[in-house]
Amino acid sequence: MNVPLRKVVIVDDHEIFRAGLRAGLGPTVQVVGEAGTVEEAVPLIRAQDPDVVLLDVHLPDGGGHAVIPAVHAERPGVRFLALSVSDAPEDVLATIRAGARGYVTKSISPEELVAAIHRVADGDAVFSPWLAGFVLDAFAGTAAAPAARIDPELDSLTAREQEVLLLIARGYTYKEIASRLHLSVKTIETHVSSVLRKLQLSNRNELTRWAAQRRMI
Amino acid sequence: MKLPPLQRAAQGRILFGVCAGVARGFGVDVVLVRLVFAGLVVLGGGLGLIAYGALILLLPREPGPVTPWPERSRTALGLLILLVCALVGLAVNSLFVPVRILVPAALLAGGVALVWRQVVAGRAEGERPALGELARVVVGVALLAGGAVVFLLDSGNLAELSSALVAAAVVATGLGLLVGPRLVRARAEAEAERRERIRTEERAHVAARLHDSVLQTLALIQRVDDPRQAQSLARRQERELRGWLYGGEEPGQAETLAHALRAAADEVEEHYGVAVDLVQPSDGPLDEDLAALAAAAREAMTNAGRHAGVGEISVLARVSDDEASVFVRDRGAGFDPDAVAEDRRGVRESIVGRMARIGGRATVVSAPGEGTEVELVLPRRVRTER
Repeated sequence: MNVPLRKVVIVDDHEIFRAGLRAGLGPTVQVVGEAGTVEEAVPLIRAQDPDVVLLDVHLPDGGGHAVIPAVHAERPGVRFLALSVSDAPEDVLATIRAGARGYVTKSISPEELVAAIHRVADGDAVFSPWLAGFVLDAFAGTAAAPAARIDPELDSLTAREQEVLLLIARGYTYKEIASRLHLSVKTIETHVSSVLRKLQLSNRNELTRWAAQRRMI
Repeated sequence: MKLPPLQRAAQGRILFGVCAGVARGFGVDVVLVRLVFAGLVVLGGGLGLIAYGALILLLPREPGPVTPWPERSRTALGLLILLVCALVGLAVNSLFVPVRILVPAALLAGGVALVWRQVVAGRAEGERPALGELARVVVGVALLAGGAVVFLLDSGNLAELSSALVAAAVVATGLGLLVGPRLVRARAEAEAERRERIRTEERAHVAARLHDSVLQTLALIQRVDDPRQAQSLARRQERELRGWLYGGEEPGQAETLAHALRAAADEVEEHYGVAVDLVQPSDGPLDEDLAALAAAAREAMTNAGRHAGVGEISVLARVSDDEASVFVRDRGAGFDPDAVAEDRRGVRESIVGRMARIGGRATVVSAPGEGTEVELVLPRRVRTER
C-alpha cells in the first residue's frame, strides 16, 4: 500500500517525551520541527506548514488551544492532534473546541499514534477511549435539559454515533468497530468526524460545565 | 542593618516601655532617650508628657512577658511622681503651658493618637474589627470632642484654642510621621512572612508526599531486574501520583464505583503485569449493588490478566440514573464459552451468578483467538435520594 509521507511538528514542553515520540514514529512520518512553547510553536508551524501538529494540551505559556487559532487563519490546512498525559477534561475540551481534530493520551502505542496521525492528516477525527466515553456521557447526561437546546441536530448524537462512541470507549479500533457493526471503516470515520463537529460547534454550555465537574484519571 | 520594629519594650521598661522601645527601635542608647524625654517634660512642659502618653497609645506592645512590676516599682514610682510634680508645678505657675490649655491639649493629642493608630494599623480585607479596636476609636473620638468642649467652655478664646490645637496637631503629626511608616512596614512584613510560611508548608507537604511515594518507587525500580516488575511498579506509581494530583482522592472520601474499579485494576496490573486502560466517564457512590458489580468486574479483569496473554485490558465503566455498566475487554487468546468446564467457578459463579443475584446480567463474548469481552449491565432501581 502506498502510504504518503506526513510532515509533523511536535509541540510539547518535555524534551524527553519529544525524543521518545520522534523515535517511535517510523518511516511514514517525518518530524519537521519541534517546539516547547506557544511562542515558539506559532512561527514554526507557519514556516513549516506541516500536515499534522502533535499538540500538548498543556504548555508553559498557555494551553494548546492558544496555538490553534493563532495558526489557523494563515495555514488552514494544518491539522491538530491533541496529546496529553492527564489533563482536566475542560482543557481537553477547550483544545478540541479550538479546532483540534482529535485527542489521544500519551500512553498510546507508537503504531496507534502513527495511525492516528494519518487519520487526522486525511481530515478524519481521532478519539481516545477516554474522550469517547466522556463525550458519550456528556451528550447523554445533559439530554435531560431540553430547554437549553439551541440546535437539535448539533446537540444530540444519533443512535449510530452513540454506538460507535461506545465501542471506541470500550477499546475497539476503527477496524474492529467496522467489522462488528458490518460497516466500512470509512463510514466509522464519518460518524466520528460528525461527533467531532458537534463537539466543536454545539453551543451548549453544559458541555463545558459537565467537563469541569469531571476529572480524568 | 535592619532595625527591630518600633514597639514598646516588654523587658527593660520602667513605666510603659516607651523609652526603651524607642531606643531599641532607632538603635540608640536608652539613657539618651530617657534624657531627651525628661528634657521634653521639664522644658516643654505638658508637651513632653503628651508626647509620652501618645506614644503609649500609638506603639504596639512587644509580645512576650513584661518585666514584673515589683522589680521596677521604686524607680518607676519615683519617676512618675517626679514627672507629675514637675509638670503640675510648672503648669500651676503658668511658667510654660497653663493648665487650662494643657488639659484639653492632652485630651486632643490622646484622641488624635488613638484614631491615627487605628487608621494606620488597618486590617486584612474581610477581617472584622475587634471589639478593642472599635473601643479605641470611640475613646479617641470622645477624647477629641472632650478636648474641644473643655476649650470652648473654658474661655471661648479663639487664640488659645487655636494655639492648643496647633500644639496637639504638631505633636500628633510628628509622632505619626515618626511611627506611621514603621507601623505600615511592620504590617506588610508580617503579611509577607505569613505568605512565605504558607508556601513553605505547602512545599513541605508536597515534598513529603513525593518522598513517600515517587522517590521510594524510583529507588525500588533501580534495584529491580525484572522489567515486568519494574513496569508494574512504575505504572502503579503513576496512577497513584495522578490520582493525587488530579483526582483529589483524600482518605475519608466516600467510596465510589470508580475507586473500587481503580483498586481492582491496580491489583490486576500488579499481579499479572498487564496494563489496565480504565475509562470511567461517570461514577456513582458504592452501594451494595455497585459493590457487587465492581466485584464481578474485578473477576473479569483477573481472568483477562491471567488467561489472555496480552499486555493490555480495556475497561469502560458508566453509571447513569437508569443503569450501570462495565465492559472488560482484551484482545488475547480468547476461549470457547460453551466448552468451559463446570468446575471453573470464575465465570459461572463470580461473574454471571453474581450479576444475576443483584438483578443484572453478564454476557461473555469470546472465541479462541478472538479475544474476550465481558459485558456487565446492572439496571438501577429507582430510589429516592438518601
